[in-house]
Amino acid sequence: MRAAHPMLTFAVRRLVAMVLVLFAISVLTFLIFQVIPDGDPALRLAGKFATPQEIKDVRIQWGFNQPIWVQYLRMMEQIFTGKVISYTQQVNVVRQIGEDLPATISLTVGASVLWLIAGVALGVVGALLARRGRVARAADRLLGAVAMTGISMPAFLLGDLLLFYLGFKLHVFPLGGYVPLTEDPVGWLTHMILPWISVTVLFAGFYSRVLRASILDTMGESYVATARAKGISPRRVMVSHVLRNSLLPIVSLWGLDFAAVLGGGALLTETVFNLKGVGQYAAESTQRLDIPPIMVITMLTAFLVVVLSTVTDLVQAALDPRVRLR
Amino acid sequence: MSGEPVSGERFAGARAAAADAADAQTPLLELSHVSVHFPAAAGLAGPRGGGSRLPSRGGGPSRRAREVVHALDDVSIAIAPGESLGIVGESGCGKTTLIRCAARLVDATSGSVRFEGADITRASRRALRPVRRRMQMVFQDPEASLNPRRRVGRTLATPLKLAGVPRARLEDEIVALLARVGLEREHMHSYPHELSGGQRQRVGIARALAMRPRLLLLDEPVSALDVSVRAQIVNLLADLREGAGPRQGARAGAAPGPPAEPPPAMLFVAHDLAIVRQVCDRIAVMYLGKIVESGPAEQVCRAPAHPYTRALLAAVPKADPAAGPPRVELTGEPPSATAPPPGCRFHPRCPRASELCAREEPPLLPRADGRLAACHHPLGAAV
Amino acid sequence: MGAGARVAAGRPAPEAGAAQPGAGTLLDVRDLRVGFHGGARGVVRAVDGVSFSLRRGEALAIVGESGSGKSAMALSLSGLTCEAGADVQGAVEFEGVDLLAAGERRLRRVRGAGIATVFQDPMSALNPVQRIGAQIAEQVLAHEPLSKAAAAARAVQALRAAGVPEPERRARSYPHELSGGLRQRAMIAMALSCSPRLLVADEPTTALDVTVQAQILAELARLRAETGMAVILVTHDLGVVAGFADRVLVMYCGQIVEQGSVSEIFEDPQHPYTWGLLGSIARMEGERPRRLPAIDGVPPSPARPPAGCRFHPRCPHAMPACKAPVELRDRVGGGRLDRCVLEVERKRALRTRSGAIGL
Repeated sequence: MRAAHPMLTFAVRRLVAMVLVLFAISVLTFLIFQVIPDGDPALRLAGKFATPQEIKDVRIQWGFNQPIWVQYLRMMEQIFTGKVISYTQQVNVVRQIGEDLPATISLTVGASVLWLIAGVALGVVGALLARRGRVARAADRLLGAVAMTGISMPAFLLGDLLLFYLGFKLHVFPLGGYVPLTEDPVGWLTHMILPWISVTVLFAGFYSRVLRASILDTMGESYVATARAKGISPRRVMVSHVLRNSLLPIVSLWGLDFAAVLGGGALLTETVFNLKGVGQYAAESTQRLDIPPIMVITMLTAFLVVVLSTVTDLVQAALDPRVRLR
Repeated sequence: MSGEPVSGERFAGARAAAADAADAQTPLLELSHVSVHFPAAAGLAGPRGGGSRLPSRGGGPSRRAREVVHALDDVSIAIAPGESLGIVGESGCGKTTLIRCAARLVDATSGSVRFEGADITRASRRALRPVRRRMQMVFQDPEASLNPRRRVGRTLATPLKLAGVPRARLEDEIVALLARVGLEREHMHSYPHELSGGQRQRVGIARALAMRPRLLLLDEPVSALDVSVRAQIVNLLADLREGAGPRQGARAGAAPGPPAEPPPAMLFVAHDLAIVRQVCDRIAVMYLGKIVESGPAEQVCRAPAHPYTRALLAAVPKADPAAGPPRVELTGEPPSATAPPPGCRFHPRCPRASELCAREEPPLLPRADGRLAACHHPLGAAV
Repeated sequence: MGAGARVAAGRPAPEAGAAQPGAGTLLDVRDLRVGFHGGARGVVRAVDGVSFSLRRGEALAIVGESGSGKSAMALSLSGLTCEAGADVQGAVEFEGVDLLAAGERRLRRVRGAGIATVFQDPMSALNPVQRIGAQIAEQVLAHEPLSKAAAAARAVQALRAAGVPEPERRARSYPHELSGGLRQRAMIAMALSCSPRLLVADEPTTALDVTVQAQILAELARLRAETGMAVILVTHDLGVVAGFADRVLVMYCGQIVEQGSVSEIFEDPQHPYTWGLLGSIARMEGERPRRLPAIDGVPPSPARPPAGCRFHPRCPHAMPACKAPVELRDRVGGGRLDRCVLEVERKRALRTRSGAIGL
């Protein structure tokens, strides 16, 4: 046996990478909260009107008087055994995140599908328009402007606008909140549509621009000229030669964005629509400078990013024979 | 592998040098018994060009293959001051590795690289810095090797400043440099994309000359250019070799440029024997990581000793309708350098191969006329 | 552009150029003009009034530098530049049908089956994410009512015909798994898979080693002899033309400057630009000249072509008469055309440089 199977080396490589990433990100997050002002957890735990003695007691009780690395290790132990407790609310963080996840998963899955479809559609239309006459090129520029507006629209503004007009004024959609899918599928859907639209607007604009540029690049490739010279139909040239190659960069982009939103990355949207998801939890914990939930959510995001990037690499390798897994 | 010393080359180099200049006791550049082996990787034959807007992490080397690429195997060359040596061979013969090895961009697995008599095989980056100024590279693709956001003047100013030109004289020096490669003063203000391919290559050469190098390493400098532009660059190199600037007016009498420093030596790598013959004093022919023949350019081209050299000669198109299409003496392509054939590496494609060639690797030996050839059945003196 | 209209001197070319127009004519190009929108500079006329014709089975070389319009011209024959946004005018009659006036469907039937095209860089001319066999089969399926299996078999057969070793295995390879030479053979296999009457090869060997170039040219010559197809070889290198083409068309700055049989072009070239191209070739035979008798300077931009003979700013033999428009016409006799006002005898005296032709 000279060398291991390439899939095995790939898997081992990624596992090692994951451990390193989790370690690095956790140390960094931990250290940041050690140095920022007003970050002392003992003050928070002891309450607003605590005496110096009470604070001291808390410090000893929770082990904040021990060396940093001991505190770090203990935090890690608690995280990985699922026993980590929030400093400000004294609830189990892992259990809390478990309760928040369904909302975030609902948001991520729905929105990511929508933004992918919208982004690809707009990108293809833009690229096709850009190669036509003067009027079409003007339409393409208009699309570009719309996309730029979507990209630069702040989530809280867009979400509030949607809520105000479609929820508060027209009563088409509920005013935020989350209804579990298992309890009330229709209620779930009506509650999710506005958040989905809100996230989709943010991402679709960006995706459409990336894909448009990618398609225009690909159309200039000489294998596309070869395809035309073969006498196959323009639609076939577009689908099997242009699109297939242009979509390759979108795949990895999508995987990473999916991971980020799933790891609570859409915290503004979640907060505006009061979804009570992981992102909202992260936002609230940050406001309270509550280290344990922030640590767990950061590590969860890092974990998801590594996993999803591995998955997108596998998909890339399946789509593009030139890509080698490593 | 052969175990045979391949030192004749050094003497040949020294002899040519002695004929050229009196101060040339030691070769300017000397590679002795250099081998470069590296693990087979996608970096060589893997993704490049072909519309790869892929994330870079996709295209790296695969660690699956533990095979070793024998890019260079026991190669010795020597270049005397002012001399020009051409390295010819097909893609993958190791000629680019050779030039990169000379510039220490690639480390030799074994053997030694000496420049101006000093061993630089293992020299540190810091120690290499002064060496690299005296040995400048010109790349195949001038478009890729010039900074697209820098005007030509600035591209040339950087090495000139490094070479110690005072700020006040900078512009004059840039203009002189441009004139030396056949460009005008106003090209100073151009960006690379505003120039033609040939002009960009002239800038590439000017940038190399700015350091007043003693050696120019030219890696396929003309193969990406049109034949007409190729001829211009070849003529420019011929002028540089003779220490003259290019002709100033089109044909208004060859007005030699300013009396410049002694002409640099050249290591010129190409796949086209006709171009190499036009530029170089001596030629070394490479096949699969080995030198198979070397000697004075005219001799090698007039009467090749190695069947591979003859095949390369036959592949050069004859600009003569009566000659018909070029003879195809070489079918297929060179075998993989990861598993070179046993014996003579050329024997599977060689019309003269015998059973001996499959068994035993022919050593690179001096012939009666002084040049070197590695062949069990060399071609006769006349062809 | 007014100048363009006046220099429509190419018009009489087909009658004068083709030996016997009519039955044997495969392709008849009349006053072809190809313009690209060059942003602020308006329309750049890459091809400016080119006329020529091609007999069945003939091998024609189109020679010129980058920017001479040779590729734009060759690709316009089957309408390939139109889709890149070019404005194409004139007439391209292929087997009696004007392709420039033909509809998209008609054009598609000609592409691949009537006129096949091989591009310069085999690295980028094949789709990197599709297997070679599938790319060839796709073309076969576009033109012939075959099953997928039959098309795949045809692809293997085409690869074998183009000299690809182990064609069954290579059909399943991706382009990046093949060497440059094999990729170009695969391109040729694709081009020939539907037995075209005309093969347009746009710089097919420029990106290849000299040894592989020799193989590819020999392969093209063999396939042409076997199939009887006509070939248009577009190249910047007159050297590769000598052993391959019947007739040569030299282009400079969007115009034909000289046209003649291959032996006429090599032995008695009329236009100084052709002399320069011949002088640019580094040759193996004969003494090594100190310098190659090549052309100085850079080609003009087709956006602003010089008045008169477009070559005159670079021509050492230019005279005042060169500043007026020069017609492409027969000046020597025998049906060859050139665009130089020098007297024939004077040319013969001027063009010899140390025993060879050069500028």
